[in-house]
Amino acid sequence: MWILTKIADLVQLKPQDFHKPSLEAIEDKINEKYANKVIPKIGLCICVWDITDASEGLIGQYDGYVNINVEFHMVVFRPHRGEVIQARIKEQTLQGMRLCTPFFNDIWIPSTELPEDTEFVEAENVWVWNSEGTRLYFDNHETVRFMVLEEKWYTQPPTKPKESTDSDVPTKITYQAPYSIIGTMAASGLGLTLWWE
Amino acid sequence: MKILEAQSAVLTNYEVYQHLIDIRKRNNAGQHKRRMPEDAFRLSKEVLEYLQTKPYPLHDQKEKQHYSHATLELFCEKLAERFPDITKAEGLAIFNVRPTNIPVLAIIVEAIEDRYTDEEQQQIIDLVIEVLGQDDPEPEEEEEGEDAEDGDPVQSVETANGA
Repeated sequence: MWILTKIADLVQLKPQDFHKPSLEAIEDKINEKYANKVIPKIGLCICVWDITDASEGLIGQYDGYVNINVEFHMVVFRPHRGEVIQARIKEQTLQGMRLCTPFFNDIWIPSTELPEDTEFVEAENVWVWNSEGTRLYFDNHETVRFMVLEEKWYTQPPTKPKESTDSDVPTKITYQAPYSIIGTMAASGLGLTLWWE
Repeated sequence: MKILEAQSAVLTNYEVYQHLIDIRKRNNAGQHKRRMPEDAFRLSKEVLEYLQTKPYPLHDQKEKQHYSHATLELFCEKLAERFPDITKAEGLAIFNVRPTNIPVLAIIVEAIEDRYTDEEQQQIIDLVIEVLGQDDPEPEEEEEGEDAEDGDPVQSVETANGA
């Protein structure tokens, strides 16, 4: 679920940061820039693991910033295909189920990937698994296990500048997650964790 | 920004957990208490919360200390010695999830029925419990109720696997 990615980047320390020990100042700068950001085809960055290399600091002529070339390892959230992880049920529709974790909300289980003999009860907006005569409910907020099937990457294009000021038609902003995971629960052992304890 | 190595290593849940706890300890120690930048601080808090969600085995790490670098080494060693066919990814998943029953083990280990006998599967579970511990049993009366409820899916697994 977690990987280390080695990245090289230029870190600029402001004179205001000079009171900090260098290593801490560098780490803070990297965390500021990367934490909670998705790098396409890499994953969701969490925080610095270690700093493996740093150049001498070069002071810029005009701004007094110290420029340092740094190499570091980043802790990245990137569950691999076939990995089984847990999450909570966030919402359910006829199309499937959205799962979330405290830090990652873009997990989708399509209805075709639910266990066999699972039906959607529209009155309550829940999926119910008919397991040999027992009705097992997928209640919201329950913890489930699922298997990662595929991942989707999306790069948000820069937004267009407003073309005309005449029309008051609000521009529709569609949000698409930069990184989302498609999973399955269609196998024994998957689904609500308390079914299998 | 330049990616030098997309994946230099894989980490276990425990290592990520310990790393975040260590950062916190380091930041709170000494006279100059400090904090990570806002986003990183919030995110690390959320990741810790996630890793300590039941039934992940780290949920009682604070009290029980079942996991450590020593147990990680011991677990890898014993697993490699007794079950050399378990792949690295499977071993990692077993360490993360700590399956204490066969249905949960079966979703981690691919084609388990073809690779291991029922006895061997139980031996893997025993090894997990021996090295990594297990959850305390639930209080008596609750457990009975849960058992009755849990009966069906477990049975269905057995029939599904037998077919």
